[in-house]
Amino acid sequence: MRKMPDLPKLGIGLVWWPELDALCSPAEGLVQVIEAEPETFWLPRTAPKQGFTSRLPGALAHLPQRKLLHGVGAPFGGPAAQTPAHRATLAADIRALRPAWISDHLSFDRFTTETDDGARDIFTGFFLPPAQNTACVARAAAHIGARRENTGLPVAFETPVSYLPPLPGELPDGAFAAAVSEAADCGILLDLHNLLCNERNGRQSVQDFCAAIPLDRVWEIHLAGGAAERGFWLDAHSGVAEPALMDILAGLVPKLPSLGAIVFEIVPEFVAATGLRAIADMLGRLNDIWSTRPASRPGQARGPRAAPRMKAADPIPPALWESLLGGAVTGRAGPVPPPELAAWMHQAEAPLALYKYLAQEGRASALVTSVPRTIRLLLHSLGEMQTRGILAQFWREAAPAYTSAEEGRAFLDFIVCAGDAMPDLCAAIAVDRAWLACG
Amino acid sequence: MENTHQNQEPTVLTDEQTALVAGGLVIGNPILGGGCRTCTSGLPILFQTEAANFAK
Repeated sequence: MRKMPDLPKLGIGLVWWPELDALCSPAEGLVQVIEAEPETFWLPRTAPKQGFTSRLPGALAHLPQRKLLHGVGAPFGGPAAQTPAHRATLAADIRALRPAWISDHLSFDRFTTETDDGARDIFTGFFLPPAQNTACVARAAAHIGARRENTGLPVAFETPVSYLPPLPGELPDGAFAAAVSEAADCGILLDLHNLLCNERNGRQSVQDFCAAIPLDRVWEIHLAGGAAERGFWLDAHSGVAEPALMDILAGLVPKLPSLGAIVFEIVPEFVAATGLRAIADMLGRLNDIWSTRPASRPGQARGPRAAPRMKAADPIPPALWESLLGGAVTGRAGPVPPPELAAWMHQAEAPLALYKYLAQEGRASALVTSVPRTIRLLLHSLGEMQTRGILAQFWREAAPAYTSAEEGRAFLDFIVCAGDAMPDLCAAIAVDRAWLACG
Repeated sequence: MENTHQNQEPTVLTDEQTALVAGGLVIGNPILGGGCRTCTSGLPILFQTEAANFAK
């Protein structure tokens, strides 16, 4: 039986980007903990070297606050185990930054497909929600246990967002999160904006979700702003938390005895439009809410529980779920859905199209940073429509890559093979290749 | 079209350029399938922003 860890009460934090650095000065009194997404600071090494070089410790060296690491490269909701390269680089970041706990997503980012050359893993280019059933509970618990074993740290998972309609027979969102937390005997990173999105997009309400989970396992809360897109409410991280979300937070915090941090997330591209003043005001209100948390309780002895027994069989095997969603989002031929899923697949057409759009915009945006000269030359010479046409051809030929650097190299190879005659293209490609070789 | 790229000698960057490049790649290159800008759920806007800049 494991004793629940006595975690430090860190306070208010944000997911750090350089654009937010001015708010992180201890003199401001707004931010007591710095969270970072480590993989976004990793440079993939080029052959013959393997793995990643992390720039994260250097980027955060000037910040005296405690750190938390929120992984985005080896989620718990999928089939794949953490790779040795990921494990080694994360371990180095942990040694340097000594986080109180770590977390990752209860989502999946790859699926396995059969090809003429055998089974092949395909990246989705976007986090997708897992199958909410007993098989996935057990698999996620195994991933979380392995992460805890490998790092020696307490581990939490983030409650996922899903734009899909509920699948008949699946575990409801809260029951699924509760089952994973109990089976893994781990913490919960309660992303309140994800829950709000789920509620607004037709899934379980925030209230019902919170009633279904063990609140004493909530170690951390994430907050963000959202936006409407194609009839959905997106977890867009595009502004401050809206008043309705702040009200939900204020009602919940006094019920969370293990809460160790409340962390705000915003995409760096939206910081300027949102304004540091608005973010600072919100952080001030978060500090007020933080003061309403209940007194700490000594760590209780708790043991992992078995995955819940379902009355009916799991509605879909995880591998089939992942292949169906992954195939739809990447535009690759997936398996034929079983007849009993036909009605749900019809309902899911619009959200799957949304996921495909988001994943493709992510791929396009990755090229802006990984091969900027080539992309700018194409936009300057051809305009957006024709450039998007080239990108569409590229996406049909090449599956998403794991890193932006790999995506950039693949795109340059595609352009070369396509043979687009354009003045200065050779020079742009050569310089972009040189940039990418710096890893 | 003539393929002139593949056999070209790689461009060699100066130390200063390398440092700048490394910084840009670190901050600007989230892992696909992960990373705040591409992994979570929002709409990645870097390409749209760049396209708008060139449309002006």
